[in-house]
Amino acid sequence: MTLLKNEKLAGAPIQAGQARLIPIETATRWQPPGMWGVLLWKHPTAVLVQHPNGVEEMLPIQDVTRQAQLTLLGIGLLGSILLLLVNQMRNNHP
Amino acid sequence: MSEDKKLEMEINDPGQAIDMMQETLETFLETADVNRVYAQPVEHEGSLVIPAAEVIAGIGFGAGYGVGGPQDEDGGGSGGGGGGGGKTLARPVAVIIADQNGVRVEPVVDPTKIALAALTAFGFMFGTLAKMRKGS
Repeated sequence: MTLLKNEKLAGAPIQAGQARLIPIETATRWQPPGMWGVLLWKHPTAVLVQHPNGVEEMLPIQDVTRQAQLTLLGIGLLGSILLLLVNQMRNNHP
Repeated sequence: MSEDKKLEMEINDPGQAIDMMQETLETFLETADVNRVYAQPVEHEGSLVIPAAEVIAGIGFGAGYGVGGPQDEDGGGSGGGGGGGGKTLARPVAVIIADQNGVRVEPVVDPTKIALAALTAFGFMFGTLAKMRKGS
């Protein structure tokens, strides 16, 4: 039994006019060994667009809300560390 | 969007509990398939719209069985029990739109979540600053 499993899955193709769309997702599965439980995290990754002329186009799916949340929390953390460092430098060199 | 599922059972055979848990776990894993992330396409004014969401799901079980020794002349007892719970959370991430202009991905932005993250971040910084001023 794998503790952490990460895989890319493709869904059923969807016909949109002349183009064919194949949705792709990433699935992360955490199943602790010896325990009766599982945690699943699935999120959309990209859409593969197959045009009738044979050209394939991969459209990535960005989670803008998650990116903004992580950026802001990172700014908060780095800002606090920076403030502490500046304060420490001021105290050391009055 | 969330779903709560609770399962409680009274059992006398631990094998029965394990079978039931295995069965429920497999059903749960089958349910959280790719169709949960990409919803059914919707046709709207000549465009095909496919909503895409992030899905987080968790499920857990526990079971126990015990046999007691003879407590009196009538003999001992035995018993077992089990329980479990699960939760599924889904959050919209993007919308795929296919129309005459082609196929494009439009992100779904949640301003409330971003505002809360901003408040947490700046609150943390102001808290650090206030602590520093108080200390100096």
